[in-house]
Amino acid sequence: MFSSRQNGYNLLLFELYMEHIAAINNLTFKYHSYTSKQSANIFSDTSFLLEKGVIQILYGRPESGKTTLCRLLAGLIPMYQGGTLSGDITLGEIQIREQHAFQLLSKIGIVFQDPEEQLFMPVCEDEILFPLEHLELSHEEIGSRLEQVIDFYDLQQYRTSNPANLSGGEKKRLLMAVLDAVDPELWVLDETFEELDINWREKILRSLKERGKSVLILASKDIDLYETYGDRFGVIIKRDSGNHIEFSGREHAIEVLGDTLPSIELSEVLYAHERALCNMTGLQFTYKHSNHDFLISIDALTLYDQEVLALYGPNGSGKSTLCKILCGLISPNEGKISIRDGEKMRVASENDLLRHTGYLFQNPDFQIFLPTIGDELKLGLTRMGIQSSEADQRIREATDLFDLGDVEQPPAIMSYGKRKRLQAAVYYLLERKVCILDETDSGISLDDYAKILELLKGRVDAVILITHDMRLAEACSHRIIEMKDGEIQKERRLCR
Amino acid sequence: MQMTLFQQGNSIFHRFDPRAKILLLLFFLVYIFLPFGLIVHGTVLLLLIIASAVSTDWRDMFSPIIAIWPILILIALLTPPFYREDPIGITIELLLRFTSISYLFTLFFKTTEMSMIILTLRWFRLPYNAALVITMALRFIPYLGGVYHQIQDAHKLRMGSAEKINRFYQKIRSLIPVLTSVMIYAIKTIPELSMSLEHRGFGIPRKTSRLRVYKSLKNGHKLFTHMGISVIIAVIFILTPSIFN
Amino acid sequence: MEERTPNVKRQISPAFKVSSVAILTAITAVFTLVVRIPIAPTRGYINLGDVAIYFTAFTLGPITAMIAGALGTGLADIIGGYPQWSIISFFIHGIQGFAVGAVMRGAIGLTEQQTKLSRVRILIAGLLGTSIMVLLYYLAGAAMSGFGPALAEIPGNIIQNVVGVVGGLLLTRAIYRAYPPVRDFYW
Repeated sequence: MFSSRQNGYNLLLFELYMEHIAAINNLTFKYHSYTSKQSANIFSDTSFLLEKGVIQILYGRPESGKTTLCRLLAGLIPMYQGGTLSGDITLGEIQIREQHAFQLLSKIGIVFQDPEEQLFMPVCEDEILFPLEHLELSHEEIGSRLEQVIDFYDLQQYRTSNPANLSGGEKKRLLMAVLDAVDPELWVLDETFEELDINWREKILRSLKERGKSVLILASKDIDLYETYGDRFGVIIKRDSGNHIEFSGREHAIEVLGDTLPSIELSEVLYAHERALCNMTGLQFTYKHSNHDFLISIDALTLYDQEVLALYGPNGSGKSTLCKILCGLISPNEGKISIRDGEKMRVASENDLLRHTGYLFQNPDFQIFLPTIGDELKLGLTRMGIQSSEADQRIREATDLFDLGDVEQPPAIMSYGKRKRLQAAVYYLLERKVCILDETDSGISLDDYAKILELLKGRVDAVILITHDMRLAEACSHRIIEMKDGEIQKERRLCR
Repeated sequence: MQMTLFQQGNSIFHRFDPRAKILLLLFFLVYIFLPFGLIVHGTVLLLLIIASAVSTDWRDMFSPIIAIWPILILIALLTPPFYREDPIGITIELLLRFTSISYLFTLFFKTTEMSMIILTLRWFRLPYNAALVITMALRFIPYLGGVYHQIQDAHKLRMGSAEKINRFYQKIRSLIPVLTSVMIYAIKTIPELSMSLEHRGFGIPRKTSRLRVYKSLKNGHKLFTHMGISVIIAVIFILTPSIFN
Repeated sequence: MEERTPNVKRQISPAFKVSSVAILTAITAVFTLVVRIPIAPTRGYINLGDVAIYFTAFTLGPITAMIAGALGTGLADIIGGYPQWSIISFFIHGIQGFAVGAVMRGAIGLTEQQTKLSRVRILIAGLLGTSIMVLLYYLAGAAMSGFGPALAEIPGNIIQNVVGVVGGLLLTRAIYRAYPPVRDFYW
């Protein structure tokens, strides 16, 4: 098996035997540092080949540089995100470095990990038409390709809707349709399959295989179907000096990818009336959606002291809305929420709830307001009536615990995982009774997630986590509540 | 956030070719400013109100007036002191003019879809990049509006209260962190969006005329007829005032 | 500070220009539509559209400020239900944005000395932007609704501009600290 340790000479030999579509030689890359500290290498001296006509799976943990790799392949970096690049990337005969990204339109196509970054048209149809109109095709050809992909990816009913209103899986299908319409030589799918349901995964993978496409799939989790459809398996090996990519077979790759679940120690919870923290009864809320109204209705739900409660369910099942009611951002049409006040429970006002519950939004950027970590952590503390010197002391403690480093750093250019840790540190300092983690597990490393959960669990009385991942819910919680269509479908206590 | 004034419908105003419609809009815009006297301008306003009632739900007939009543009161109060001769006549003239302009624009945007307007402007030789900017802005306005509300929620949650802040200065101060956050988010989108655009082929020099015309307005007999009708309407409106004089 | 690779200059591609104008147009419209502070007599509120325009002029330059100011406020008027003002807003805020951007020419000071220099410029730019906006709105208002109501709008417009300059400046300072790559966005 080909290994990255081979040098350029061996690579040359190798090329004689294998037909490859892309060759990456001695790739080293790091982003610009905008602070006084040097930034670390993302990749260091790594080489590999991508073969023609096969489906290759490249595993990598969150934040191991998958997205950076995609953008390097497509010539988008360091053009738009400054950095230092050395080594060669060649697609067939073409040196990526010497090209503009738009010249590669028919050579390489990516489905970005975050659809929000890739969709820019107000109508789905235009999203597909945009690249086609840059391909110099005839009218008839554009029309037939459009119809073909709309048909295959089942987007007929969304032709004229706004892509922003689609669900996560539908957005991925739309982006697959865009890519398919262009049909480049190399398809790069950056964690595309995670959000698609099983039928779509199978349908797309099968068609890619049948059509003999050259595909690179980047994945942070293993999916059973990869075993059936994948031809080559590789993994990004994390190293402090810069990551390394090795195509060394499925078993090795999965072994390097390692554990995908954090191990959390959970204390015992007493499900007794006098240990209740928060009580919801008869909640009703109608949510105005663009084309239909959506009703959330919760008969009774109690949160207990020291509990970790997992809310599980598909997108649009009302998990986030329920949590927004719980922290006072939305007032329900009917029903009441009581919170513990000493020995008794009392009905909580909106302001009570705002002070009672902390909420880590899924997107940390919506909760970071100020230019530096220090300012950010201080915001809200002074409002609580804490002296400045005391506040500084606490902020130091929190930056150490959450491993945030220098307080003068601007959050906007920190890594995603670090921004999530900052978000958690904020609520750690604010000392709320309950803390909600809204899909905090997506896009960050296991270590970061375990750290956030452990620290917050020790500080607040109860934690609610929202997740799509049943295995994660089972590993980290006392109780799992499954929601569907705005109602609680199943409640399950786990033995601890 | 309601994104547009446009209301679905099948009235004659909806079906009228947008290219002819935009020219008629410009014609009436100039017409309203020309000195034809109260009777003509009053008639124009009346026709516009009727058109508004016919074009969509008739109950929305007076909604433009509801939107502008404060300024109408101001006109009524503040105009007379400025004129010695015929203050009442001039005030009515100004009231009619402002109301007509409001009706005219509302009627146009109520019956013409934004994407149609962009295609029309493209037909009138608006550069491709300009049309692309408007199109993308229309996608990002509701999105960033949503982001603004989420960030505002997050700020409320952080400060732990929803007290109504009444003082002007305090309100501005509490806005700054929210605006900063929205702005950072928006600015960070720029490189992402550039990448996405270029990755989809934006930047390829335009080589053939076939490009970028898949969706465009067709020139046909409908356009010809509607342009003709527009010219006739314009001529009628220019000639009729002489009857009154 | 690390040395910059030559790639940084390449960043200002046509795609980048189109994206920055589109995003700032959207932001200008959102600031105009969403943030309304009740005060001015005629339209009943002042909006923060000018904060976005001054910010754009300070950080991204005159061309972006011109197009984003023009389209952003014009679209906001159409969406927000005041379409009769859209053409007027389009031209006036376009001119205002261009003038402010042209006077500033990216001279937002980051060091102590630069700050002193740029203060004069900011003052001139602010005064110019304010007078252009107030004067042109007065003339346009006079044509549409007579001199009286147009005069009544002046105090509100002045306040809106002062808020715009101060807010735009605060925002610019904050963003330069919070997101250093923005330094390379000027064109």
